[in-house]
Amino acid sequence: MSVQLVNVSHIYAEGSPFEFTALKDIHLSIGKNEFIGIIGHTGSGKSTLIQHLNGLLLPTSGTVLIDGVDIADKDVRMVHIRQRVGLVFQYAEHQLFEETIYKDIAYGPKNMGLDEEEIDARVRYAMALTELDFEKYKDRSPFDISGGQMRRVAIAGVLAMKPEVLVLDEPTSGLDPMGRSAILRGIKQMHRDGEMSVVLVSHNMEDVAAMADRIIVMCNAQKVMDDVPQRIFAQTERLHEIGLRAPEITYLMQALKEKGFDVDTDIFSVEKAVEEVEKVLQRRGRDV
Amino acid sequence: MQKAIEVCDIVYEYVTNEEERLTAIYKTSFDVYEGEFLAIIGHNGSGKSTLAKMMNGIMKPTSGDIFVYGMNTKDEEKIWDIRQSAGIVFQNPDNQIVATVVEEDVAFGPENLGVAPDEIRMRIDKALDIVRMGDYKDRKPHQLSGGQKQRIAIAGILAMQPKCIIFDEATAMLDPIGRDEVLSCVKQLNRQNKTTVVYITHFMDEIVDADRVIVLQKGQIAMEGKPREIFCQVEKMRELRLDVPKVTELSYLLNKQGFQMPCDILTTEEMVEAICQYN
Repeated sequence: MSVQLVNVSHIYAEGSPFEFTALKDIHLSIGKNEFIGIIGHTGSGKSTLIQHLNGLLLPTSGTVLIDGVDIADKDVRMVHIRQRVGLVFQYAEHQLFEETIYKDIAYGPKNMGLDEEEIDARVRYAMALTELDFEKYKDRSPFDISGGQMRRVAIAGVLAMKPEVLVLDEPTSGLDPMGRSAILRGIKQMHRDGEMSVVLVSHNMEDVAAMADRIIVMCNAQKVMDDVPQRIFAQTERLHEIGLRAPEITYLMQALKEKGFDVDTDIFSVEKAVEEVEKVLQRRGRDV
Repeated sequence: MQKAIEVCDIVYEYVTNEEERLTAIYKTSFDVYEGEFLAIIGHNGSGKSTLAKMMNGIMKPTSGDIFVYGMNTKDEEKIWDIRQSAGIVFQNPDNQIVATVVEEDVAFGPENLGVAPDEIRMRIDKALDIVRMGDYKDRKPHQLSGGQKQRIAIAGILAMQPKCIIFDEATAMLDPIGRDEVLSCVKQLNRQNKTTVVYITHFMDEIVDADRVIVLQKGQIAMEGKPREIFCQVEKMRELRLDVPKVTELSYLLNKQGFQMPCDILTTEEMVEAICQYN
């Protein structure tokens, strides 16, 4: 499926003294099986933007098209849109409510009117993708597990609806480093195995750089960049101006380059940096 | 060294909805010294936040005692003196702002302490100046960025003139520049104003210049030392579900590949230096 935003603007409390433009003239197209990262300073419009992807918010002006159909059209059933575009909110674990983990994850598929067998299959599918052992966790209360596990249950609840686009707002915030890696590993696998497009909103530049094939940069309600990670993070000064940073490792590579070392600067991960620095050290070893 | 906070053999137990008895902190003791920057890290559920809330008397230990500048947190008569001595800044800036104008928000604490109006005026100006938000004193908090709001929350604490401030994941919800703003403000408070800082975080790169790091695991102290001593133990940190700064990890991996690099590199500058020195 495709999601297209055509000239979308969103103004909160229009006409009141509190009027606030959260989105301005956004053009955006999300294709099949893409992995998109959205970054931007607090208040730049990221959350407002993603709420337009599944019709939670409708544009003040402009159009949102899903497979070419305007979602504001009165014949469009929002329930269907929200199954196809699954949205995982920030601190999603606050929305858990059922007695058992199984029931919580089954809630979405149940409301879709699926039969018991299909619901069961979906719960198992979602728990497998989020690395939650079915037998171990199905009957436990979602409130007696760790924060990271609760977050995964909440994501599983959205996955059980088998969305074609999965939108995640800060899925790792507040988690310890291992909890963060577990969630990210899961998302990467879901993208690969689940054949869905993923939209990841994050303040963690390392995470976005490691995961996304394309990055959208928001600043003051506008989309100011839309490109591959290499070209986005090469512009460190521009990023600083708009309240962002490049991944830590990128600064190291830039500093080495300034010192006259022949290194690639479009490197974001420690693994890639190891390869690059190895080359430098080997050359030095030979020269000395 | 003078002790700001003394944590003496504390246990914290609580009962879940299923009436199960759980222990969040188990027989833990340590001191926070006057003027130091103490970082506390640990996996989710290791007891960091419970500990923070006990350090200014929001929660009381089930057994054992905590003394804040000599005052026992269990002494109800001293509770306001304790909270004035040890302020706390939480994760979510929106939950900590009470007023509709920045300077009124900062005034809230000292007003409740019964400080005289002239004195309050002085304290507000000074506090906002320290967090570099002086130009925003007439603004509405909801118009500020996350990092700015968090600095207002810090100013609100500063206006009560605490000797110690506890930061409980105060940068967790901020964007990268917001994090930098808050962190540099915390460091400045510690260095210039000599405020004692207890800093809880999941971001390892924020605490590379802390005086001391305590690592919690399942409610107990698993490691304690200078950042360099802690972070060079990459494998141990992973076992504790934690990370090390990216450059420290890089140097660890290069060592594994047979390149002799210092294993306690903490910053980009140190890494560049080490590569330049390599032969």
